[in-house]
Amino acid sequence: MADGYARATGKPSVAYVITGPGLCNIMTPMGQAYSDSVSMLVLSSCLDETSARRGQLHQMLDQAAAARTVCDWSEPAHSAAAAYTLIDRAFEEFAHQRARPKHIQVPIAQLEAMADPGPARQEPAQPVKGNGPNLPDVAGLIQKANKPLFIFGGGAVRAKVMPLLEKSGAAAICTFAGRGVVASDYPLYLGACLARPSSADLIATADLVVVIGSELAEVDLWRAQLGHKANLVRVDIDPQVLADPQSANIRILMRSEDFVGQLTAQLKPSDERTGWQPDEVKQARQKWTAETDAEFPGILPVCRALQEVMPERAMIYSDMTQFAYLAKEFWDMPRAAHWHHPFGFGTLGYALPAAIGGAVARKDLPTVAIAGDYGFQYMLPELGVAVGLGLNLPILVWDNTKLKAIEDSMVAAQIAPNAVQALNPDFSAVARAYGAAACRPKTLSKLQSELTKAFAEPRPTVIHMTPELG
Amino acid sequence: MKRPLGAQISHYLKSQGVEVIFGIPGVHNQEMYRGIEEAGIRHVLARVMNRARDLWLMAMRVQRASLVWPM
Repeated sequence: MADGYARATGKPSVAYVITGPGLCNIMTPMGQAYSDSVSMLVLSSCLDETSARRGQLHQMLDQAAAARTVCDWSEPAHSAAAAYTLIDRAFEEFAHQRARPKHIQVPIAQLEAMADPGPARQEPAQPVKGNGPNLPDVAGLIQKANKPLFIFGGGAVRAKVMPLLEKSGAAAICTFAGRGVVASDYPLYLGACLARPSSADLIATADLVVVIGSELAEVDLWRAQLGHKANLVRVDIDPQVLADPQSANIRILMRSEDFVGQLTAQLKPSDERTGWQPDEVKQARQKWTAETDAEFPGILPVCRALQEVMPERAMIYSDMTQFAYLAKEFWDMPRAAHWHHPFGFGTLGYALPAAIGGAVARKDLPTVAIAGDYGFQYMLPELGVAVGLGLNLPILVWDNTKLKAIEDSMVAAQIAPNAVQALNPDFSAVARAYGAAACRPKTLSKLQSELTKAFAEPRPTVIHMTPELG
Repeated sequence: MKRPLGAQISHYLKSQGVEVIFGIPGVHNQEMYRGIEEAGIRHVLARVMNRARDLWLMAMRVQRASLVWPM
């Protein structure tokens, strides 16, 4: 929930949990927030003494260390002053560094002890903006290039890239998290194609590649190397990203939005000469869509039907399901930062709690959750939360009656499928038991009308989708 | 004004612009819940399946003091 709230607002979110199991429960969301660059501050209680006294309620051997494996830092506050300082540190870093979760734990005796209020709030420090005299001449490189290519990641969602693309005549790719940064009708937009193996061949034809705000992580590429043969420029706020094995020859530590703004201003107006052909872009996209369709059969028509009626401002939270695996390759977003997925950590059960956080943050705007049949059962308690809050939240459940991604993987590895099928409950009955609406549309047009109807319900609606739809 | 630190933390977070806190209360972190409303922050109660034991403890209003063994 806190993850979904932070992704929806771009502001840090806060969660309170208890010692031991409470901290363990939130460690998975923290790991997700770490891998996907989400600002989250977790405050937990902790036991006053753990070394000399064993067998206490909610005891862990080293709670702070456990949390440290899934967040930027995890520190105890042994006094009020320490608690305030650590909170200040978290918010200062949220303002200036790559978004990552942090954890502060406070001993129960400290929480109970009388304390003075925290100091008067200070505004976060103001960063010095501007490129200085040493900024590499990327504008010059772009102007010399015949086929420049930009790749935008989740770190670029605040950048206004369209004037840059139009001025430079460059082709563009978004990572899954970067979808919506580039307008989908831009004739040289190649989509979120990085996971397609043959995208490497196309990237090899570019004579300049500029990667902005992307880690080019395993879950972006699904291969070790990007595939570029030309100069590679990387722009990122995180030095760790700039030190990766893609061998960028120009590395710039800078906020994506600042870099894009400055580069756009430096570029001379284009004479509209570009080596890229809109037709080659179109053909490449068609080929990749066909590949994805063959990989996850039966999903594409359902995806298209939903896309047709999805409100433009809808924020979508998807889970680990083949439905989302296809959708995030194919579905161009009209706005940046409006499709959230458990990209890096890959948490099953992410979509609904995160969507609740998003819906709480964006009260009158549409929010949607998408989950598979197995993953949905990780989220059932949260269905009660969504009902309790009266959220008009459509929950699209893609029910292929199994963990099909795992089954496909086992089959590909010549392993007899094992433990990939669980007895599903009657999803509609479960939804109604929680007080949610439920439906099981039999046709794509009925699916479309049920989605539209769900936005008008004063409660969540579980929309049960099965492969027969496609 | 002086308050228990658990309550002060919510007030301090409010001064940092926090409007919503997500979480689950338990006996062990109830002091963090003392100041949430007073600070003007909304709390959203999450649910996680394996928290049943702690919620049961909360429901039974078992006082923390009775659970602490003397050293």
